[in-house]
Amino acid sequence: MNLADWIGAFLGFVLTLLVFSYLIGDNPLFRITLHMFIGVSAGFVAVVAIYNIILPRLFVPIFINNSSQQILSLFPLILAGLLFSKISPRFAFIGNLPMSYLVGVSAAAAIGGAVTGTLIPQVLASMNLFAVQSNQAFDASVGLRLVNGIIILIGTVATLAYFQFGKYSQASEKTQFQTWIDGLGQIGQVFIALTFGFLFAGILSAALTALIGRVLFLVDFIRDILGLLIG
Amino acid sequence: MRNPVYTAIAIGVGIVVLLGYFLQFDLLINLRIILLEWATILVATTLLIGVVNLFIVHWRKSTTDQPNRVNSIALLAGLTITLGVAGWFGPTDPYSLWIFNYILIPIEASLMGILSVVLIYAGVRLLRRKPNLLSIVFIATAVVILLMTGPLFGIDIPGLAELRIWIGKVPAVAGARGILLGVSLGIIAAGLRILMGADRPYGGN
Amino acid sequence: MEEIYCPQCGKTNPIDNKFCDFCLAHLHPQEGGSADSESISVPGIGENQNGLGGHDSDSNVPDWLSELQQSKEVENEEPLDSDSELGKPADAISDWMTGVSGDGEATIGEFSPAAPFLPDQEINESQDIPHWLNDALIEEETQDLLEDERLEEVPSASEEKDVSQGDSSPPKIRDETSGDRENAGPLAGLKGVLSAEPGAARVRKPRTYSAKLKVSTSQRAHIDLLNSLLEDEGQPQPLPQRRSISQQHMLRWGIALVLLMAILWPIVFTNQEMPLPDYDEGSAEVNRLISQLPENARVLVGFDFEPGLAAELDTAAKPVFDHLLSEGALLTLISTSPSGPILAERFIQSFQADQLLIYGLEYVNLGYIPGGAVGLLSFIENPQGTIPFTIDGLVAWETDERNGLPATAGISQITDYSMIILLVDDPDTARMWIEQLSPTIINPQVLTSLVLITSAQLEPVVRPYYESSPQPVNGLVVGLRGGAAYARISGGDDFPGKFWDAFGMGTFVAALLILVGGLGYYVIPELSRTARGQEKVKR
Repeated sequence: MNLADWIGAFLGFVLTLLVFSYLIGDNPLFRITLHMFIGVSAGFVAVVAIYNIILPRLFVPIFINNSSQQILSLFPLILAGLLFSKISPRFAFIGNLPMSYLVGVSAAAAIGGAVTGTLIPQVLASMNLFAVQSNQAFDASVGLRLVNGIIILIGTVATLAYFQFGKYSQASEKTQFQTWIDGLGQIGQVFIALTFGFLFAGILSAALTALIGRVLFLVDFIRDILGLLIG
Repeated sequence: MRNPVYTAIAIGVGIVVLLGYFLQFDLLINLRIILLEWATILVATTLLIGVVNLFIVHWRKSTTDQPNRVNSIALLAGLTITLGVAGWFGPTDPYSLWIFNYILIPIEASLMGILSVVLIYAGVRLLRRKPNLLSIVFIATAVVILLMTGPLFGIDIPGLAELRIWIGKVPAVAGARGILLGVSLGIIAAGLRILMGADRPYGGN
Repeated sequence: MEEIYCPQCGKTNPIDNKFCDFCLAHLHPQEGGSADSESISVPGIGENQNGLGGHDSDSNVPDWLSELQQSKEVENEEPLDSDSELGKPADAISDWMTGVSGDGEATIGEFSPAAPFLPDQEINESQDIPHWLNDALIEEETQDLLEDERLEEVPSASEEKDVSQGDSSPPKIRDETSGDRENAGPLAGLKGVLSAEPGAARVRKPRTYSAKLKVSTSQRAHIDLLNSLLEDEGQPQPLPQRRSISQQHMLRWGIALVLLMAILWPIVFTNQEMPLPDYDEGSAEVNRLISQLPENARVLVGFDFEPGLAAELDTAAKPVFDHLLSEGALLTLISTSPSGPILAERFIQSFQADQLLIYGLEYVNLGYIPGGAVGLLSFIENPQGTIPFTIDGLVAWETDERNGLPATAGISQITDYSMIILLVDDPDTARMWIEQLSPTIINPQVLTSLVLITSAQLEPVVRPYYESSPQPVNGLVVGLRGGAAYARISGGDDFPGKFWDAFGMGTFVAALLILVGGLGYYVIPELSRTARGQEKVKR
């Protein structure tokens, strides 16, 4: 390790301990570290945005392209200029024009993605659970697959029904259909609890991995320091 | 003030982009590409505006006599140093990577690390706070998945590995699929409200 | 000064007083009531020596007021009659000033609170007043009197009787409301105006307040108690000692300590004790897909995770990329997160020690696509237009007009990539990639495959896509376990053993803590509660 790495490792060591100090309790040093982290993150965001988009996409096309492209590239420049008015509360309304543009495009991309990427494929996947090939003999594996398919289908429908559960439950007199939906919603809750349990375990695993990474770093640094001191 | 121009812009560009998913006309495709490219540029601009605003807010805080001004000074210091170094040398330069490796990653990874303690603590308290069937299902699933995610000292508990795989492939898929469909329906509903002009989060209301 | 006790309320009054300052009761024995002698003292006037009644009538009183007094004296001599008043407007004056004299006591000659209770024939003297107005006035007067009575001590029955007998004031009501000519003050001579005379206003006895405070023994005791309480409040009290270490704190510290010890143990003392997983379906599928890649296949790699999870994703992706690079794949790095390009650069540099990767030739870092789904959609539709330059400012793509970088040669659209690998830690980001790529990738004519290397937290979210048919996600490496399984499948022996051991110990201890701690935390209080309940029943 060169000197810069040593300094960096020491800095990382100190910062790691400062963040871990939160386990003892919230303290000013932890908060200072957190704010420094936000500052550094924001700095990287700004630099990457400038290097990757603002300079090559906003300004460069004005100088290098042909005249029609130059005119075309003026539009985002003007819109971006209008967006900067959002910094001032007094002139923020000027930025509503590019914001409306952004919101419209984002909403369309979100709808299109949800329909073509999740809604249709996942509904098809739920239907295809029972697609047993005609030439396939019915054996234990096919039976098991069908049982699993039924469970997945019930779970999916029940989970979806749970989203409607709250609405129907408010009614004082329930129709038979609403009673069914309520019952299905309760089954859906079990599936949701199970999924969230899985998710919880996943998040905990990921957090544990991060913790292990930091502990490994601390141990390695101490070993390096000891090795340097002892020789 | 209700401004129909903003609403018209949002609806107009939204419809062009949305139709591009389903219709393949050259004119539509080219128009859609231009609109999307402009949007990416504008999003980058909003990021920059966000950073400028962050700087202004914390500059004001740090120059006034406030109890938390030290935090703002730390933020400004981090921001200025990063902007200076990464801005001058470039974001993937070794100097920038030094800041990234020894400041950013230690702090964020440590934050993720302490999350593990918080999550275990929450898991321990769950049964006390809500002792019901759903909590038991939640905890039981989490414990099974956790045990079988790690190597478990090489011990093979009969049926547990199969149970983990089955949970992952059947009931968890069912629940997640239901949630994904629900989320998608929600996104579609919210997006359509914007494209129909019922919601105007851009200040057109 | 000599004092006299009021027979009604028991309070002390100056001996000169005729009536009680507090309750207006007679202080001296009555000698048979008569209309002439009967009068009600007005303490507010009578007591106030500087007040109206306290002055010599001619010395300080303004002209118009002295005129008023004179007219009152005249009126006292005249019976109240509307006709006569009309004839002598200057004489028509209320009789309330009758008692104003220099002796310091004002009396109201003929006004009585019992006026409404007078016999009908007396009220009927007011012939000019319509019945409805008369009734209203009587009612109003009654209410006023009731209010007055509430404020005052209720006089004794005998006094009330005396007062009512001696009163002859009902015509006064007629005076106030007759709408006749004004006979005094600045509006004198005008007809139909509201009277400016003080007599036009209702005469009410002002509430009396004694300057002296009569305090009983019990009240004194209460005052002393209150004073002592207030004195105590004024004294700074030491704050109650706050419990700095609560049960929750202890629990959290205990968990942290046990977890850290569990992780430290294999890192410090052991090495590669725990076996790598035998098989993982998703990882095996990724391995198969990479093995089938053509030589110099172009692979698009999305780095979409946060630096906090770099340890997990770097470790999980390392065996996959070892395999990928050994197959000679050329990488295009991209991200929809601002920190992604730096993470990508950092990740690639971790390979440089073992395998020299030349920038531009074997990999290219396109950097950051802003806008989330919008940016990604733009990149999928038109990669060259969306990101024309690398993050270092080099021309990224080969076109008819210019030469690009070898790593991206031949790429004009997203489906020119043989494989898309996404390193992701966020459910929304993963969903966004899958959703935007699905319409392109699901097409049977497209040979591009999508492979996900995800954080462990994403497994439930991406699994439905992987388990779908048609399949938008073709391979799945989930977390450290997926990476370890990949390392085992691909025969790589460089998976970090200490990491895996610590992970094994950490997950085991975490599960144990949740299970045992949760049950203990729930069961022990339940048991103690039950025991307490049983004790109560026994008692």
